[in-house]
Amino acid sequence: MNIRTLIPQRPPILMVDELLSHDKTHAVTSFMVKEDNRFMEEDGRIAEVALIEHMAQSASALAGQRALDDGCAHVPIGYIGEVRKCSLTERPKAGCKLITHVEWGLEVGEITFVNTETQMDDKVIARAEMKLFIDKQ
Amino acid sequence: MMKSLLEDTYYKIQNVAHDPSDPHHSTFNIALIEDCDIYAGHFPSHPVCPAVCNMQLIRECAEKLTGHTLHISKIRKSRFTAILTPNETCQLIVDIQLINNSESVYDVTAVIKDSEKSYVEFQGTMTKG
Repeated sequence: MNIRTLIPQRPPILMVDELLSHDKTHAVTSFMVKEDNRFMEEDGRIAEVALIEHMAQSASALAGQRALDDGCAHVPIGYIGEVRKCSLTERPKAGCKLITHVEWGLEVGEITFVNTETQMDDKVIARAEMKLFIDKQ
Repeated sequence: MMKSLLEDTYYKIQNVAHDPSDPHHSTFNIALIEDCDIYAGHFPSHPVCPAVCNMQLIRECAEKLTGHTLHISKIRKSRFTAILTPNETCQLIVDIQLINNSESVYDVTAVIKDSEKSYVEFQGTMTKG
């Protein structure tokens, strides 16, 4: 399914390509880093905040898929409420493919806790715990 | 220092003040730029400042203060306490405290706020690039 049917973000800040697999509480996404990424830096690597955006949008893709699975007509908008225990160890270059695992945690009203981890060549390069505000409108 | 990703597209710096009583503490006055290209995607016809752009803004302020390229290596906790939109809130204050823990590592604490409320509370570590 086209990622644009699952999340409301669009270029230049669209930071996920595909929802590869999912069930109710897990998702795996992919993202290819391109030369023209809005967060590409002079040294040929993307800024670390782009990894955080990618992890958040990966969780948002699962939120969108869950909404569609529940029969909702619209996918929700997710906002980052909090990022914690986040480590960013490597900034990917253009041509690198990122694979991200999302674990859906506790939901309290419109707040959802997620754990995310991004791998590049089977090595973890970023991880974070996030609190997302999922606005179902 | 590498070229800024967001200065003069997402925000402009209007003033920087250094706290005479605390050498680690500085305050930036910034203005958000309403027609920034990023709002085309965040979100179409519904502009909201991305949390990650506000963390990048804090990083760029820290780079200005140190004169070095810095990378956010750890975020202990970053809270986004209110939704920020470029058309309602254009003038912001970035209050930033930088503590140089070792040769290449800074502990960074920052708040983005206006006269009414705070929007971002950041605690993290930045490392020289």
